[in-house]
Order: sequence, then C-alpha cells, then structure tokens
Amino acid sequence: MNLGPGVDALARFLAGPEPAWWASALAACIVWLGPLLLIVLPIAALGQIIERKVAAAMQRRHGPNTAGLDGLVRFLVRCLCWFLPRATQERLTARLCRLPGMQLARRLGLGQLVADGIKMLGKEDLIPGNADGWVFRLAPYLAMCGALLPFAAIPFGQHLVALEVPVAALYVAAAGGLTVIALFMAGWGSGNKFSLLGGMRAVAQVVSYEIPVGLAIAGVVLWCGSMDLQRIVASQYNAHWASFLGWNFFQSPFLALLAVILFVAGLAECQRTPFDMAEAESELVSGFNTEYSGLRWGLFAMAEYAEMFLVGAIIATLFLGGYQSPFGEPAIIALPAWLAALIHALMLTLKASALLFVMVWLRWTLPRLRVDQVMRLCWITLVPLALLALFGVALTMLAAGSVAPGSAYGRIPALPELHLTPLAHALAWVLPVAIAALLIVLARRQHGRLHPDLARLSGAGR
Amino acid sequence: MGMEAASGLGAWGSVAAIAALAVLVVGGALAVVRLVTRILDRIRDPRERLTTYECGEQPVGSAWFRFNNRFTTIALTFLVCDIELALLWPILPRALDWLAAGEGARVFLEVSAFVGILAIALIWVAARGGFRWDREVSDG
Repeated sequence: MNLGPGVDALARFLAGPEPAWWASALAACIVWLGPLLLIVLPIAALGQIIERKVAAAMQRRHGPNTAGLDGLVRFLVRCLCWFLPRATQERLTARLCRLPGMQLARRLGLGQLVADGIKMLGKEDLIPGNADGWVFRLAPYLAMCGALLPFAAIPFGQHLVALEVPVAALYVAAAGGLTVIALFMAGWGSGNKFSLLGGMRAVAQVVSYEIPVGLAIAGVVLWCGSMDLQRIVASQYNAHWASFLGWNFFQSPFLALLAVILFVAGLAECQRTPFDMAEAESELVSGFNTEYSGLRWGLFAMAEYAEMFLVGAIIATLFLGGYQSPFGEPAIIALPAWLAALIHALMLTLKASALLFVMVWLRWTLPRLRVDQVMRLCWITLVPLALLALFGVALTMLAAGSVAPGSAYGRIPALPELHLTPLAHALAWVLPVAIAALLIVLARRQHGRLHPDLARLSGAGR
Repeated sequence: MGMEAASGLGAWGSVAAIAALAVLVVGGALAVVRLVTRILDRIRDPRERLTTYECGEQPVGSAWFRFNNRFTTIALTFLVCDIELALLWPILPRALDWLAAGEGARVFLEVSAFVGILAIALIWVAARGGFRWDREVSDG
C-alpha cells in the first residue's frame, strides 16, 4: 500500500515488511491524525485555561483555577456505585481523592476545564430570529476548519506530516485564509449591528495583515529555494552540535526581521490584543461573536487558540528550525525513527507553545490599538518594512552569489543551498545592522529623540 | 486463517473496543445534555430571547446598514497586493537555479521592477490618505 513514506515506514515497523491492511490503516491514523489529536486539539481546548493561568500569575491572584476533580470523582462514584452503602461510597471517594494525580489536578485547576466543557455544552444554542440561518450556523465550523486545515502540511517530524506537497507553504497560507470567510459570515449572518461592524473590522484587519505574512513567507521561500516545508526544515539543518546556528533566524538580519514581522502580523491575524479591535468589548460588545453562545461560541474560542498555535508552528518551521532540536540534532537524527519522531514532535510543540506563551503575555501587558492605528501599522509600517527586508534577502543572496550542495538530513536528500563563507556570513550581519544604526542616528539628529509621528502616538510631545 | 492473525487482531480489537466504549459513553452523555437543552429551548417562550442583542434596548432598524467606504480602499489595495504575491511566489523557489546559472542580477532587476511598480502604487494610496482611518480621504 502506498500511503506516503511516513505511513508506510510506520506500518512496516508495526507489522513487518509486508504489512496487513489494518497496520496500514492504523499507521495512517497515527501519522495523519496523531499530531492533530494529541497536540493541536488539546492545546486549543486548554487555551482558555493557559490564558487564565498566565493572566492570574501576572496579576498576582489565584484566578478561577484552583478547582480540583474531587467533586467529579464523588459524582461518578455516586452514579456508578449506587448499589453500595453511602459510607462505603464516601470511603471510596476519599481513597480515590488521595491518589497521587489528584493533588496535581487541584494545583492545575483541571476541574475548571471539565466544568467549562460541561457548561459550554449545556448552554442554550441561541440563533437570533433576525439571523441569516445557515450562514450563522456554518461560520464557527468554517473558523475551526481555517485553524486546523493548515496543520495538515506542517511537519511534526521526518515522517509525521499528513500532506507532503511541493507547495506546502502556499497551501498553509491559502487554507488559513478560510478564517476570513468565517469571520465575515459570522459578522454578516448574526443580523446584529455590533456583529456587522466587528465582522467588517475583522475582515479588513485580517486581509490587510495577510500581505506582511505573505511577504515574510516569501523571504524564506526565496532563501531556501523551496516551498516544501519539509525541505525548508531540512535546509536549516546544521551538522554542528550547536545546531541552532543553521536556523534561518540566524542566517541574516533580514530574515530575523521577517520573523518578527511574521509574529506581529500573525498576532493580528488571530485578532489578539493589541490588535483586537474586532472584538473591542468596550465599544462593540464582543464584535462578530456577540450573538454566539454555547458550543458555537466555544468553537470560535478554540479556533482562536488553534490559530495562535498555528502561527507559532509556522514561525518555528520557517525560522526556528522546525522540529529540529537546538542542540545535538545530528545525534537525534541518528536515533531509531520512532524515538526521533517523538523528540521532534516534542521540539516543535515546545517552540510553538513558547511563542503562544509570548502572545498570551503580550495580551496581558499591552493596551489595545485604535482601529486607525491597526491599519496604519500594517500598511505604513509592516508592508514597506517587509518589502525592504525581502529586497535585503535578495541582495544578500546576490552578493553571496554562489550555490553549493547542502548536507543530507535524515530521509531528505541533499539540496542545493546558498553558500556563505564565514566572512560573508559575518558581513551579512554586520553591514545591514551598521546601516540601520547609522540611519537611526541620523533620524534622531534630525527629529530629536522620537519621530514626530511616534511622539504624537505616545503623547510624549504634549 | 491462522490463530495468530485472529489473536493479533484480537489484541488490537480489545483496544479498539475500549476506545469505542469511551467514545460512546462520553458522546452519549454529551448527546443527553444537548437533547435536554434542546427540549428546554422549545418549552420556553422564544420571542423575547430571539431578539437581536442591543444592550437590552429594543433593536432599531435593520442590522444590514451602510458602512464607511474606506473599507473599499483596503479591499482594492489588498486585492492588488495579493495578486502581486500570487505572481511572485512561484518564481521565488527558482531563484537559486538562476543564481547558479549566473543570471541572478538580471532576474533581480526584473522582479524589482515588477514589485517596485506596485510599491509606487502603495505610496500613492498612502499619500492620498487611504490608510489614514483617523481622517477623511482627500480628493487631491
């Protein structure tokens, strides 16, 4: 059976050289659905709890997160052991609550998660009489699709990728674009003025920030010479023990700048603070999801966290070595395939989660931008900056000028890549940084400490 | 038709059965919750609850009203830039080939001209105030 190299390798590992159909089917389930079911969906579901935990820690309060599972255990014992005397039930409950995991559950507030889930499902599924029926109903599922579909092309390991196509980067950008349609459908279909304004703002914002995102991805595609995410990861492989030296982020200051642009624009694509004008609760109630309740609202919330994780995974894949370990990657790739796959999946999850944490951190640190500031930041700052960085990447490549065969990485053969001597590499960093520093010094001499626009924005000039 | 095949399948079958049971139990519980809420939804009088939410006031007029035309500027600019990206992306992966063939400078100039024309258009829109949402768009 030919289900792609990853599935076939796993099927052979499970059931010998001639795997039966069930081994192939199982392998397909693990490779295609494993990362989604075991990593992405749990993080999307846990997103709210992670957010509350971070918020509570930053504001030095407990937050609603100290609920354990004791009540749930008591309830389950009552339901399942109804035939036992009450005293025995109590003793059983106490026994179960002393189990080692329960203290941890109390510390983590896992009970809150269960309660939230039951609450969300039990809530009334309200569809306003004024709403455009099927548009309103379809929107949350489409938002979820837009957040989950791109994960099919993101490699979680050498074999752990569901969709291995030469245009994976294009696919990720295109599938992520579904979210815009979902936002517009939610805003329009609700039949509510707040929702319509929120939806329009959301669409304008997401669509605008798609340009810097596209330019940032284009920079990496140009540098690595491929749109295949698996090859982009492979081209960041460095045989040195400090393997992070091969990551795109450290190759050129222009690529580092593009990574920062991608992060800021990705934050805006998820409509997170400081870019959450679409849901500005102080003026639009809740924006496009004002009329949503229960499970439909929950799907929007889950899609938001899945999308944040997606942005983290894309930045990690394009700029931070993908699923590679920062240290000792040559040793890891030499391990048995299943062990390497586990470590690789863990590495990508850690990188993406770290970026997700930064996004949550920013939300509880920065104030919200005004809607005209959001638009100006995109079109007047990020798009020209991304264009300049793209030109910088192209100029660096022109100046380096020579292409050499790279090194093979696991099952991915050696690919041609840009050849930079150590001196050229150092120059590629020093020259742009020196020019930028010079420009900043000149600008300060002309305009004073702050540019007049910045001074007006921050109110320092008054 | 060996016993080994059957027992091998049986071992996995038991895992599958447990998984299916778990799905059935959780799914069944959730289905019951949904069913109860559905029935409760039907029992109560829906007229008041199904009105559009406008902070407790009676909704005024239709929700599908006209909105500011500056969204149009953004939409058109986005369309142009997105087509630019769609045309730019397919040639980028070939850049290393051209570089190896010694045609790097020529291709760089050609693509720069293409992107540069669109950059001029962006500067024009910005100069006309198309991205200044804190003011009205000027005519001149």
